[in-house]
Amino acid sequence: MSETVYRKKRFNLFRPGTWSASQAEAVSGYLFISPWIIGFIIFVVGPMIGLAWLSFHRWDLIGDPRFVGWRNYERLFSDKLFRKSLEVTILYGLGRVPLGVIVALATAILLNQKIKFVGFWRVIYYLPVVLPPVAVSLVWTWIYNPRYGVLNGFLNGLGLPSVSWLDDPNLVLPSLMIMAVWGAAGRNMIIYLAGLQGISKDLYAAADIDGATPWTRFWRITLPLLTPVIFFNVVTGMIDTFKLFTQAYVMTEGGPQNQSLFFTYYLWRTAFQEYRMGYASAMTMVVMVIIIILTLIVFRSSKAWVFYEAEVKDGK
Amino acid sequence: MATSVGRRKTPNYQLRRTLSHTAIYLVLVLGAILVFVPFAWTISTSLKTEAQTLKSPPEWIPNPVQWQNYPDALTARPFGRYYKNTFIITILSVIGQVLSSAVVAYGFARFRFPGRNLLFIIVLTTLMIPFQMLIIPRFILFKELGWLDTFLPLIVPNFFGGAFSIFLLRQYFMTVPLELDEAAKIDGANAFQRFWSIMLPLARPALGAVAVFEFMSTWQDFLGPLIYLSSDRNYTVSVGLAAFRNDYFTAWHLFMAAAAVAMLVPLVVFFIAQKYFISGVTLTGAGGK
Amino acid sequence: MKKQTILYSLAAAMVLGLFTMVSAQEIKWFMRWDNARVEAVANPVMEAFTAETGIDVEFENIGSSSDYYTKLTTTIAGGTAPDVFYPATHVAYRLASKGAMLTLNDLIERDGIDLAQYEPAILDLYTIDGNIHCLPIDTAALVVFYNTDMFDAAGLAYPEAGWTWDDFLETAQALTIDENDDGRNDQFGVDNFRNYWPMVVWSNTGQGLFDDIRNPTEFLGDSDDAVASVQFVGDLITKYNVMPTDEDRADISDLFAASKAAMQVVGHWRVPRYMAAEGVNFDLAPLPVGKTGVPVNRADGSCFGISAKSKNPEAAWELVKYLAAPGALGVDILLDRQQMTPVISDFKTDDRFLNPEILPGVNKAAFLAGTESLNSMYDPIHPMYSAFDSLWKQELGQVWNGDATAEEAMVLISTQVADILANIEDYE
Repeated sequence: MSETVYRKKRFNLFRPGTWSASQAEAVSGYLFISPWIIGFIIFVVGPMIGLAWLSFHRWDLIGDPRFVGWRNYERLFSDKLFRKSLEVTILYGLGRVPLGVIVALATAILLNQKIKFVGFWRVIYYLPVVLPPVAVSLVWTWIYNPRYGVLNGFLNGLGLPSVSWLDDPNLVLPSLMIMAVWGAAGRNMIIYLAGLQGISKDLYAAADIDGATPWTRFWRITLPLLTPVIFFNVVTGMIDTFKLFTQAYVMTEGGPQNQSLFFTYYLWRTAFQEYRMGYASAMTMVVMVIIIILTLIVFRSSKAWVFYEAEVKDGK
Repeated sequence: MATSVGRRKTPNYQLRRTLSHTAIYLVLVLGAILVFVPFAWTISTSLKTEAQTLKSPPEWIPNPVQWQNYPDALTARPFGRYYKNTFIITILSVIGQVLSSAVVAYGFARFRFPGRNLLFIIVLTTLMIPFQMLIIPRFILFKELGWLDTFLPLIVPNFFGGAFSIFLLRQYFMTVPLELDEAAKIDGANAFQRFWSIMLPLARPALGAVAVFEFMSTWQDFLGPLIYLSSDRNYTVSVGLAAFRNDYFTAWHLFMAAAAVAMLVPLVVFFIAQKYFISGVTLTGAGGK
Repeated sequence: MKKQTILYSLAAAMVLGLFTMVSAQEIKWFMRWDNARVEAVANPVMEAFTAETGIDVEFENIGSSSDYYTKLTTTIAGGTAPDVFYPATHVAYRLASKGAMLTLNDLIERDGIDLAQYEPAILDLYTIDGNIHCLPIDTAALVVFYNTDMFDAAGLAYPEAGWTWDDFLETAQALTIDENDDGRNDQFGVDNFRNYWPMVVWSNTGQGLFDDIRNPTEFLGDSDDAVASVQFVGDLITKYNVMPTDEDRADISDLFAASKAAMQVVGHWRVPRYMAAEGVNFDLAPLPVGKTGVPVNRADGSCFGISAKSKNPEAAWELVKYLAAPGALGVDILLDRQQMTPVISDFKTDDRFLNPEILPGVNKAAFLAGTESLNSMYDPIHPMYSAFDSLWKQELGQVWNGDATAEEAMVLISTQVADILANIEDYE
């Protein structure tokens, strides 16, 4: 965009003097972020408005949408499966997230000791994170196979009885949690490790002078300094459980007895198997509100953990 | 890595330290075994005969070793085509995501304009909203555009910046000293030139991290292709793998062979680009602080 | 000059005519068959069809039915629907009631299709207010497949028409074997057919689960006989364990094919699989009769229909006729390849169906039993079925694993169904 070309045009945004320096800077800024703004409007704001609109209609994709007022929302209250899907999703999150934090944090603390080949261990533990969920789900279905799976084979080898992991309504969620921790712990481990390495050694030195045991050092120094990161992980982890789909689709089809009917799976089924677009939209709206509340919690508590916010205020 | 914490090194302490170190290594090795068991089980099953997969208790060593499972699995469905599709989608998505996010992140990092903080907070907020919530309206949007059963719904949105990538790149850009920009400005470089020839070359590690993350997330995506692609010829590896499972019944030796191959590509990419992964995740963690 | 103009316009008209002819002669046919069937049936049918009619067929196939219906629905919604498609009973009803399928009455009348050849109960499924919108080709009739070697080994007589559910249970018990006495059965009397529980209900009550499959207003599945039928199926699993639990099945989709179950209740579509299964010698018996004493069977099946938006309904109709009208060549090919239980009466007596060379001595007439009382498994075929389907899967799951009695489950189902029925327009 050479300036000489534009100088001859009658309307020239770039002619010196048209804009003050700060105005010019603002224009450039808006230009740079314009792809995001356009994408945000087309792919986020537009769909959200569409979603809200659809949630007041009944539509099976083929006929014309019919306005039904609040009916879809009213029906949600008597929908046992919707309630079940929220219950399952939240229950899963409440188990999976803390479990993930404990495993990842414990591994990170181990790696933060003076051990050799940290890079090697990091890579090993990170491996499962990169795998495609469909492949992982297939593999774990086979691991959990009640008769021919390696897990029951191992239990039987120890003289323990077989367990019907994914077929048992009480065990299906814990089974999926174990699989998820296997698949994701490596990622959070690296985050915690970075956090641990960022803790000033002087703090520990000072604690040592005071005669602190490793245990008290962990509770008094390490953990408090990591809480922001942990908290961030917990909240985003809870929100992430609302994305769960592949496991339900590949491994359990929501069963047994809808005990793994994760929200997104139920949403997909209602919308793309039963073609109840309006109803599924209403369902989504309710969950969006839940997610927005969770998000607000994150931002409200930002004082405790957000460091980029301060940076934004500083300008550069 | 942790350095000396200034403790006096008595012999007793040395012994304790050696012991606890041994314990740590033991735990780490045990953990590594747990990580590896599913891989080993996959490979083991993928080389068995169907009859051997249905033995109880299960056996670890394939006997006879059935290499034929791999070609059999990969031709049972047109996996070659699925890989090609997935590569096309992934590579275009990565290009779109990296370029557009870098541009937007530069805007947020280097310019002052009214509403910037608010807009950036909106970027971060969208990070919290799972796109899964918008499948219905987006599906309808793409239907109206006539994009269903093409790769476009999976690729085009990436050309408008991703919240996570924007955030990560902005964090990185802010660490690049302003003086470089100022110098270029004096030399008469315009904003875009400064972005292109000063910032981008310096931000290579962060761009690499964004690229590998986008590669992984596109490669791993399942719900998107499942909804937007309907013809077999357009399937991605993940959708093809799920369909493969649906049209056979108990061919676990073949499923595991197909799954092993599906895991191979991301693993190779990971080994080649692992430093970007680690630095990228670390940057994310820094965001959490 | 004038001559030239006329010549030019003639040439132009010819070219145009050629173009319209060419484009008029191409239709899109969308199927949901497995690859084996595409090769064995679809390809030869298309070849023969194009050779005979000069109509080109663009063929598209999706193996998975649920993907197929998703795509069908979205293409219909997007106005790019294929000309000829292949919906199952309840999908055909949904699409037709939305006006997405062409009404075939005029074409049927014009071309003199002999409707009397079709099983009336089946044709009725594809008729709304007297309008036929889809021509059926097969029924999803169920039979009992049984492994003759296992019967011989147990010294059991082969089942015969008229056997009852009590006989069935007794037979299944005699065929259930725990070879190594580890407390887990290694051979089961019958593979799990629990999802066909409505079939047991029909045989004991003489009626379906709802008062009207099109406009259901009342749920009949909570009658004493219906509840007892469900309990019977549950008992097969939990009380007698002649039918495997999920854990027993261990992700093996078909224990009959794996020689781990002596009987299987399923339809014609599994024949190729059992023929291919190693060491499985089988024969067929009709379904057992229940309290009513009247043999029952399943009515559903698939049909060929035409998109209401088809740009070329005539050519599409040619293909539908070719595939589903009495006396048509395509039907011959379909039949010859052993793919289905025919719905057209001429074929029911055809030796190619009853005594095919590839299945010597197998009692294929068993597929035709129970026409006295045909019922749809998609009961009701009204679109609320999918909601009902997930409902009963949830509640009856407790019966299948012994956590609830059929009576408890049916009470829960019936209250929830009442709620659906009271708000039925939400499901349309």
